[in-house]
Amino acid sequence: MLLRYQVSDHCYMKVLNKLCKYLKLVCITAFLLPYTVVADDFTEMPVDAGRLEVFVECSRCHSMQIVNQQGLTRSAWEKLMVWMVEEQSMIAMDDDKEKLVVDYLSKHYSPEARKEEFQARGRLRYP
Amino acid sequence: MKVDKQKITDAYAEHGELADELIFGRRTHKDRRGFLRGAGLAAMGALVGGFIPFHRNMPAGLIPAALAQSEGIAGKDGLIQLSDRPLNAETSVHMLDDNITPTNRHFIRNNGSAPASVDADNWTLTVDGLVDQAMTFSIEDLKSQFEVVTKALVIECGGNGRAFFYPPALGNQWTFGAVACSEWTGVRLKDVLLAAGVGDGVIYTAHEGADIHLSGDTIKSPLSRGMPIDKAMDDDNLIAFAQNGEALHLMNGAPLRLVVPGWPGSLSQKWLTRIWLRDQVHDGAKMTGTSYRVPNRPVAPGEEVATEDFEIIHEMPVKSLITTPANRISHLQGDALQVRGHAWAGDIEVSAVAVSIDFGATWQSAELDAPVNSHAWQNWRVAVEFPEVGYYEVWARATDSNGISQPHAIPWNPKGYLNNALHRIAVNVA
Ligand code: HEC
Repeated sequence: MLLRYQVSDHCYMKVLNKLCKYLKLVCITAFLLPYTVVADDFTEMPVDAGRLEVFVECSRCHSMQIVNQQGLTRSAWEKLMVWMVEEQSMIAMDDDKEKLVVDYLSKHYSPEARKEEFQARGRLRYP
Repeated sequence: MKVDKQKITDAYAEHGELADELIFGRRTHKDRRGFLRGAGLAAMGALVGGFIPFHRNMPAGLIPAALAQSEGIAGKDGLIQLSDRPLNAETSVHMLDDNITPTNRHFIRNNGSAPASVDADNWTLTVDGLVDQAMTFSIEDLKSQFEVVTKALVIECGGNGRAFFYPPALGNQWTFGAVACSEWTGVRLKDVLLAAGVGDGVIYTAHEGADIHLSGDTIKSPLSRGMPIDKAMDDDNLIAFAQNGEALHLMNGAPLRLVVPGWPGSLSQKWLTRIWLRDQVHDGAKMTGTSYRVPNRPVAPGEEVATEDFEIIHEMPVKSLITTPANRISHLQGDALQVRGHAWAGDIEVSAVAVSIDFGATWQSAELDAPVNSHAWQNWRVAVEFPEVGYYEVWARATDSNGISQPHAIPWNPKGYLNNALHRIAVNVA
């Protein structure tokens, strides 16, 4: 469990990033299971500028699983950043970091990027 | 070989027979047991670590116990997890088949983290605000001072069905399973409010729970919603301490919660500690902005709607589910297919359920039971026959006592609430 509450530690995440492949192989024992959860959330994120920043900033309070379910427009992500700061006590990022984070989110978790997944889910309803 | 037990467990929870086929290439005999022409037997044997001697008896869609993920949510069975922190999980439609939803199949919707201590003996509920006499009760006080009642009550998340919105709507992507009808035991909210005395000018309730905001800030509330006082005085709202005859499950709000059927589940405050009465619309967490609100007019998919044009959701709309059979089954032509499910309609009753096997061109009435009590879902069943082999869809449509039916298309709105589009399943008739 320890690791899940240290995710804001940058250096640690960089090491974890490198170790991910290795970790996934050894994380088959119950003892290490929590590590796999964090590693999986991170490894499932598309590799691109801002990936680590998004992971670190957005896994502080909830896991990435709250974020990676979404497919939102840039303006919706921008509004959400405001909501997260004003209503949910997120510490505001500096402008550069916020741009990096919003760029990443609106590129990889946009309606277009998620279209196939949402359509596949739609097939549950539309057989 | 690395085996991802969680993925296999999820696949079986979603659709056992399909998981059989996709993971192992398994097909069963006509009696839905065994391995037709041995397909999939070797693959399954390899993963469970040996030959399966009684393979001819193995039912279709049964996850081999050796592969079942045992790490799942304690006290829950086969829920599909949407997020781990906070924990949000829904039930597969075919696992909602029971008339009364067992506790282990009741969905979980959390806005924050569960309280660290949920000691029933030392739990207190405070009723204050605009009341004649502020009061604090232990759970024992509630049991001894008020009539204890048990009712089957529907709780449905306002965002159930959000996953089918496109453009996608912000929030947890619930499919069908954020709904349940368990038997809840507790005291009537109305009796407790009357004991404290509803003050002059009260128009709204405000609910508070002991869960902790995700930021860890103990002063901040993750969720605090309320309802108009008229709705609060409905006989079916309970302050509940038992579900299906047992103490509440931690993730369903132990040891004390509200159950406010017919309206969005977020009104049924879990880990309940306080109810206060107000002379204004409550403005707690998730009451304002666009939370649990819909536009005051029909809008186009993807349309931007100004925040001031959103209105608080009251009653939930009429809806039904087909819980048997599961989606995408094969069926023998000539045999009638027994189809069944549940239907519910906010604060009122469902007056009819009909099914169609021809994409809505013609409809056949289902047999519909009366609810066991008001605000319980109603069970329905119908036998359908298929004129020839081929691909069919069974559609189900409920109509409420005001004559309003479920729509065919999804009523899109920006936050993805109130999706009551009709449910359908695919049947391959061979
Ligand atoms: C200070 C804590 C905190 C941080 C940091 C944080 N969030 Fe949140 N977030 C919350 C809370 C609280 C909620 C509401 C959870 C609920 O009610 O289900 C939430 C909900 C969300 C939701 C779902 C909104 C909905 O309507 O259901 C998304 C998406 C989200 N956050 C994205 C992000 C992103 C992206 C970041 C990083 C930039 C982030 N969050 C960082 C606290 C935080």
